[in-house]
Amino acid sequence: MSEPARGGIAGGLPAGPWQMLWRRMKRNRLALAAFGVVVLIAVLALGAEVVAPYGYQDQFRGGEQQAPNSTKLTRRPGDEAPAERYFLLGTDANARDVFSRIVYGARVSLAVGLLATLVSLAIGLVVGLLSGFYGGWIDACLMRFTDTVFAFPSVLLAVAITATVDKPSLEVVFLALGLVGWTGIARVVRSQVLTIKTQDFVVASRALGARGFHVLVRQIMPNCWGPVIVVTTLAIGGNILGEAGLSFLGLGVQEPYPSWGGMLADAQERYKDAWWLGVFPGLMIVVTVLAFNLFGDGLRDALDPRHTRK
Amino acid sequence: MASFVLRRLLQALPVFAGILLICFLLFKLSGDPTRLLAGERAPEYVRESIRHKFHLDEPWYRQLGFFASGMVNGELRSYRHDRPVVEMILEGAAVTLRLALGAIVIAVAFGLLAGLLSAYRPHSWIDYLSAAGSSVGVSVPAFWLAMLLTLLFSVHLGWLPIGGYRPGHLEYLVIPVATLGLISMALIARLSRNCLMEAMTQDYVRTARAKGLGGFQALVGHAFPNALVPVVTVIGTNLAGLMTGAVLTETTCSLPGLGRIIFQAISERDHPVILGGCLFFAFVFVFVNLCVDILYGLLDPRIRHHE
Repeated sequence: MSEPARGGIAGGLPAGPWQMLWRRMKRNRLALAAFGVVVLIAVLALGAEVVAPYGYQDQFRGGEQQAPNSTKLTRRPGDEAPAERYFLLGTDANARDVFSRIVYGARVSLAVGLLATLVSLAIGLVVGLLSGFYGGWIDACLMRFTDTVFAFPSVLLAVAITATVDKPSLEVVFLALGLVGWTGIARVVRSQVLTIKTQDFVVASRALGARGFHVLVRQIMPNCWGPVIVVTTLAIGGNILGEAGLSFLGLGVQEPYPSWGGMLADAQERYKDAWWLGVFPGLMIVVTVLAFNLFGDGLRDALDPRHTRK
Repeated sequence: MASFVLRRLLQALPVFAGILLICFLLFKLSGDPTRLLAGERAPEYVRESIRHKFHLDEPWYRQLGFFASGMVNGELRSYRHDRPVVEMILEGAAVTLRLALGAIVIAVAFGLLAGLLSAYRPHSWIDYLSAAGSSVGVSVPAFWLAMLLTLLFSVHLGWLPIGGYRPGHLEYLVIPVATLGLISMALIARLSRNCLMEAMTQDYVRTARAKGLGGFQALVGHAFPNALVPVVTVIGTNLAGLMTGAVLTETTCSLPGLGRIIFQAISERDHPVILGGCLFFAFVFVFVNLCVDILYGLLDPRIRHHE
């Protein structure tokens, strides 16, 4: 028996779900541009050693709090003689290059954004699948638990989790954000399961004698990805904002390693005289979060034509 | 209606109990509280007396009981400040509520206006401006926006004070309220535009147009009331987000609100205050969502709350 053609569209071309997604995505230029920005920031993060002109903790004596686009005769510890150096985005009060620190900071934002979202996805998937599939008291308990976590102001819960350890680190930050941010994903998964479980192919496979767990994992889970991918992509932006917030409160990655939120926290005392310290790291947060959000919106439009803007 | 309200409050009880348990679990996980209360090198008898004073030498379920009953009868006291927790929380809440209410008023007024104008003239410059504004608005960290506003209005123009708070002086609230208001406005503008656009394609709007109603009248008179329902929901569900934003905004603007009080309590391991503050936030959250559900019934007569 030959394999039946999958969802062919105009022209009789058989198209898999990924091809259909790509066809719709490539018409959305804004979402593509956003994806480009995401890739660009990923390149900055991965290639920080190559992109950044200096190290993130190099201090240039004589070059404290230099304005952006300036050149100054400075001396780095270990230098034989002072040298002329160019600072694209200026230097901070410790005479470190702001541009280099922003480039290295991309690592923290992206790593926490992605890892925290993975943690949330894992929890949300398990809670949502169990809740939607088994219903009854399991559903009631899990959903009350979800409501409880949702009713917490997320930053405070994350702060309280990071406060249980003596010294915050990258692992603690992404675990805390992941443990806080799964409620939206769980709700979307649950509603997907509720719709799918009444559909004919699920009923048929049950009639054929498939056990509950098999139906859940092999029949229902593969069919609920669309909306889940969308909320997950949008959650990345939220987690990057969350990481910036925690770092701003001093609970993120610790000095001297840079993070954008931490750089803004450092700037709090000084940005009144040195605006560049307060402006550029924040601008990077906005650009990154915006890119993830616009890409997520594009995915939503492509996966769910009902949401397409008229 | 009364039974509906009662049932909703009963349904909220597990949420409060859950928050109590989560706070208590985090308290137990965060190590010996006497280390921060008495200092690293305090002698053992000092620690003992602190433990005894706060019932920390008793079994965990008795401790949980003290927290719960202390919250209910208002006798729970701060570990740090020798004051009742309720007093501290109400003091902070007075500031935070001013901040949140101001922000919601700004957000709803301007957000709905932007949504209406965009839906009235889709694909006009005002629509694109509003779309761009809301995309950026939901991507901006609240604390950074507050920093930028301070830089512009306090440092460069000198119109407003730089941070701090004095009761009765509204000028200290302008930057925090504007920060939170702008961020929530972004959400409301985007959502109300989409809901209005969808409502405009419905049959009842077409009927209204066929009767000879102008586009603007159909939009305001017929589409608008129906599009309000999802917008009201978002205002309710985003209250938690607003409170979260308040934590960061209060820290940046050194405003002595509830968010900052809890943040300080967390860093000082002042657990009664953390617990009280989180329960208060949860109470506001449940209360606002209850109001939203009641509003539904008023906005959309099809939704009725039966037994």
